[in-house]
Amino acid sequence: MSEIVFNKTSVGYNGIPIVVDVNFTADKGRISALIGPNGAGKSTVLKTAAGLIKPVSGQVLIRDKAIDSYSSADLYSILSVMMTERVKVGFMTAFDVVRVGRYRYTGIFGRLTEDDRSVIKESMEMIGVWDLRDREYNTLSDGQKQRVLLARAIVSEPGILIMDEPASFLDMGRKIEFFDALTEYVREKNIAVLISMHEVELIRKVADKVICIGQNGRIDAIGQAKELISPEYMEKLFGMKKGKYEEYFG
Amino acid sequence: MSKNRRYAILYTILILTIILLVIINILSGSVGIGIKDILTILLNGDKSGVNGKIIFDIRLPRIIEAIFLGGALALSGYLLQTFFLNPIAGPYILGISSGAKLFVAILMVCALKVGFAMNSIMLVIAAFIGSLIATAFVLIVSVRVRSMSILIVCGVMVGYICSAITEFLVTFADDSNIVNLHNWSLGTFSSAGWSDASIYIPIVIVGILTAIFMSKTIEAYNFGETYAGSLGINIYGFRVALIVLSSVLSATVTAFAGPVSFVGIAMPHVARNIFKSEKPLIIIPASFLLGSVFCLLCDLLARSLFAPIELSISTVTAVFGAPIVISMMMGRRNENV
Repeated sequence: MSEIVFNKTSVGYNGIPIVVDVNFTADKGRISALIGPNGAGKSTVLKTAAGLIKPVSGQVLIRDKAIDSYSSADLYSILSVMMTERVKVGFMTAFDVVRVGRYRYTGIFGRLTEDDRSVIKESMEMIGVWDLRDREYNTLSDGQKQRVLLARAIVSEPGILIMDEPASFLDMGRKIEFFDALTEYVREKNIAVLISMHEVELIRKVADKVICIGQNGRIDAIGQAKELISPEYMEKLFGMKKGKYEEYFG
Repeated sequence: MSKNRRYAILYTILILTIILLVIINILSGSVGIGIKDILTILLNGDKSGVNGKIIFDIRLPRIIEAIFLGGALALSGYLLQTFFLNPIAGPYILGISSGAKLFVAILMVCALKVGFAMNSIMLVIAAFIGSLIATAFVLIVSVRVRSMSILIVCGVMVGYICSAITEFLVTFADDSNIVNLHNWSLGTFSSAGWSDASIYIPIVIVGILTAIFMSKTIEAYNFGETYAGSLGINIYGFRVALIVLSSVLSATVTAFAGPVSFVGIAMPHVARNIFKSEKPLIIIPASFLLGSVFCLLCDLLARSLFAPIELSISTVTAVFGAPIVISMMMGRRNENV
């Protein structure tokens, strides 16, 4: 059984499709990565998978049940989302930011039980940000911020994690720190991850499965990263001149 | 020093400041009444003499009004700031208070012309309708423009339009009532009475309790709409609740005290910076208390600086509040204001 199933689904906004005829699955214990040129509709697919927008046509199944048959409380106890929205709040420590991720479990005034505290500690330790807990979030570096947000996303103990370009603004070293934390977490907790990313050079190491969205608003190819990522194919998918991939990434 | 200890100390200071300001406010006024006399009057509840009337019917209701309506205004501003996810928002600067003012003025003028008796509940309802209409306008603009600065300029313009129409109405109102109407339309706590208090105190108390019960959701919403949605929060319902609660509070203030400037926008900001926190459970009561302190202080200045002439409350709140707002904007110049 797959955690997420897209079955002949069209995704878009206000009834206007951006990507049509989407068919793929995201499975337990695996990282499924969406790649493709800017504007191809990666975020739209992610938002649809996260139940934040409705599909234009067709269905999305979460654990074999139609996504719109879930109550939002049930859906978001399975599924956790990390989108590109910037966090702008001041005077919040890294701990506070992660704490908010426990929203669904805490009581009416957001009081933390011992249980909550230990889950927050465990999540932050797993991602390697427990040492930052008392630092003000705004004073953290971009890499630290993204890892705090990853800890916030997993603190609700999700079975499915959906992430939109989580490492885009990080330098090479921080990207690798980030993906190390993510892959280790997925291995340990055996959850399904659906992620969009631009780091083609890292994708072989990070992703088990790659879903390529082409410029024509269709899924271009689906397969294992090792088989799919060839210079010729990347040049075609991203609209590069022949030989350019080798020239720059080779 | 632990955070909670720090919060406790700051709350204590705020409450002591309120008590101190209440005492000064009772003591000061155009009629000098000695501390001894005041104590005997207060302790005996003696309303019979002239001094008793001054204390119980003029000074105390005015103090109570400044405490509750000042707090309500700060809270209303806080809720609007949450709604727009931007600290530079408030009921006065967005023209919402002026919308309420216009509708109350229309009601007052109608009452004078047609000759029906007006009561406090009608005032609140008229103010609420006016503030909702002004809010609706602001929301329509906010859907079209994403920039908070343009939204504020629009709000200020709406404020001018509403004030102009109000002035027009006031000019043509019945002579004998012009003075009252004119004072009110500039903002003042001087018309306070106990019958009004029996209306606004319950509204304000329900308002602050509702806000406190929303605090957990407000905190999550502060991290952005999409994120809050992904926590399973009903964003649409929550935003409606925010705007209705904020409008009820600012409408109540406007109905009784007229438009009071800068309390709503500045006090939540001051609260965040004094408490060094963004937690709604801390900042909601803190903003409320700061609004009370600020209005007690400004009202004291408004009536004592040039006694026996009284300044309108907005004149004084603007002198202190506007610089705070300017410094807020300077501090944010690198971000999308």
